[in-house]
Amino acid sequence: MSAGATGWTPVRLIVPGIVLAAAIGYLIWAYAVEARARDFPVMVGWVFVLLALVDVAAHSNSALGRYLAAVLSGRPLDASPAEDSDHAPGNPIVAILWVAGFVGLSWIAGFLVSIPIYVFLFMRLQGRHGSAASLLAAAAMVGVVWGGFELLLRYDVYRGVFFDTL
Amino acid sequence: MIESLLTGIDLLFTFRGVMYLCLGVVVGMVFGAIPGLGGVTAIALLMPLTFSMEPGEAITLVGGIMGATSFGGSIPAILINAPGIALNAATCFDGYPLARQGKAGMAIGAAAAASTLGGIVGIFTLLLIIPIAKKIVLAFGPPEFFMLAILGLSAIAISTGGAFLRGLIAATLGLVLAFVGYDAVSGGVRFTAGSEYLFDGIPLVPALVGIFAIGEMINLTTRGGSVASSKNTVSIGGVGEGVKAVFRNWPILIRGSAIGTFVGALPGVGGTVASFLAYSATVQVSRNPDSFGKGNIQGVIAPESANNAKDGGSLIPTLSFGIPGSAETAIFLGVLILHGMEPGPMLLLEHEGIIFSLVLAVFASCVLASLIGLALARHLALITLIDVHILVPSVIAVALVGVYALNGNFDDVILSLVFGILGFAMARFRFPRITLVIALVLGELAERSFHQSLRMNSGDWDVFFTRGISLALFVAVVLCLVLPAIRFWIRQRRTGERGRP
Repeated sequence: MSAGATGWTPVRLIVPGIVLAAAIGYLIWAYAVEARARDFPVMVGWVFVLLALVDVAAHSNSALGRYLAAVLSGRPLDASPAEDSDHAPGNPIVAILWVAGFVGLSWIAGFLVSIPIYVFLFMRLQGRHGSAASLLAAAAMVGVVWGGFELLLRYDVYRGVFFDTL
Repeated sequence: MIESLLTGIDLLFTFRGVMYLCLGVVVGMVFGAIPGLGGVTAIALLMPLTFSMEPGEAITLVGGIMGATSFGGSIPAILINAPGIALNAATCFDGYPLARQGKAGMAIGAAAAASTLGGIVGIFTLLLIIPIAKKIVLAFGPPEFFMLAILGLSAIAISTGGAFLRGLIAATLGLVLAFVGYDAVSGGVRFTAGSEYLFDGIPLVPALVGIFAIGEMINLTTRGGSVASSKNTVSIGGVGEGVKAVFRNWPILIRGSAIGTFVGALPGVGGTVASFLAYSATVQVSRNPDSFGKGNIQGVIAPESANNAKDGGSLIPTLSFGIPGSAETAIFLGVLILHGMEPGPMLLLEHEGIIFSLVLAVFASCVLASLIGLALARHLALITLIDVHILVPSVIAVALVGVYALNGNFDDVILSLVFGILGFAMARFRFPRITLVIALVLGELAERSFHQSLRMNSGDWDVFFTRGISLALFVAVVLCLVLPAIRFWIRQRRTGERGRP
């Protein structure tokens, strides 16, 4: 659906919708807590749902929505809707997968194995750096971690499930 | 108080204390100089590493970082028009034009002196307030602490400018997360989904490292690039002229410091607002406002004095009431928890000596940062040339190894990852992270005070409205919540009046 004269699109309701669903889900969960422990969480849950509803309304393509958006954002009534997100050029899913992959590899093989692999691959594939520079940075990083944590601070760096079972 | 001050001096001025102070200053300056990092990331990153330190040493390290970050960020702001952290943005307006005129040294000298003196004003104000704050704390009971916690959250939400509603939503989410785990009131366990790991609640340190350090690195990955594309060869001379300019313009220094201290004391408002307010106030009262933005040294002095004075200001609500005045102080509370000190109203009463060591560390850091910064200015500017693709994996690796080192539990690493994704999503969709963090810290205080208040009054809610201080705080909460509507109404009236013939 194309943006109208006001610049509104239904996409603007996605994030507020997700927040509202989370708020409702939390409230239902709060009611399942035993009676003595749920007073304050339930109260906060209702506030959460109310705020989420107002957020949905403020992002809707209605007169009430535009009015709420203007009041809450401090923008004039006739201004076009403010950007709700920060459009950085890179792919956020890829950025998250890099960190998640590092954590996953660390869990399996430990930090001293995963760090050089992660640093090397990140610099080569994401940063398009040369192999030599990437290898050097990877070696330096693992040296810093091992030297700093194990030697200097005497912390045990996680060895990983694989090496722990050996 | 004198005895506590002497205890603080004793804790700070040992060999290890001075060493950690210097380390904090250097780390703070480096992190302040690298856009995308900042003092919040520095403290979050180092927090797990302080576990093996004495509490006084850990706090000295944090104080060193807090006092140095702002000045560190001013150097790239002046040399390459890229503020290291948001609160240095106002310094760019006149600092960079000065650098282009070959007066970078003068600008840096002015920033150094203004930062030092502004920081000193903030700290002295804090020292004057602390004895009064103790008396105020003792006058507060559970209803007052509950209302204060709610006021803190409301005030932070309105300080997020156009994201007021999302600030409140983030604060509510923070409270929701604070409920996870064992409930001291009922003895039951809540919202753990059967996980034993969450029995003691969401561990604060891994969560903070995730939200700020990991979240920020994910954000930098999506942005890519580096800050500066070419080396800057501007000569850094004339520093002495800049220092003298600060003393010649002492009214601007005092005004900027006062604004920074006051604004810094308002929870969640932060140094960015303080520095811009100080800058715009200086322009407005100037006899030559057109000279600003073109290399007026006053345009460097005002924001730099404000953004360092805010450090002392932000510690006022943090140390007095356990309500963080800024993101750095919110994470600082995490450091206190790590070292067995409960943040909250009793902190000042039970650990005054250690708190004074923090205050003195911030004071010493302001001075030391300027001296070190002046010596290393050009080298610090080169740090901004580091490609994010080297920076990001390095910071993530160190952060997660540090998180694991805390308890030797890999679940902490996974939690940091989850909060990192949450922190990134919040930044991307403009939900202020600071309100979530502050609510996470305040949640337990709020719930405990709530239940204690009702118990005091046999379950009757009027306990919040029949005590003078509690009622006054409630009125302040209501004002905070209706402030956006009031501003909107005033603006509509002005627009209507301008439209009339």
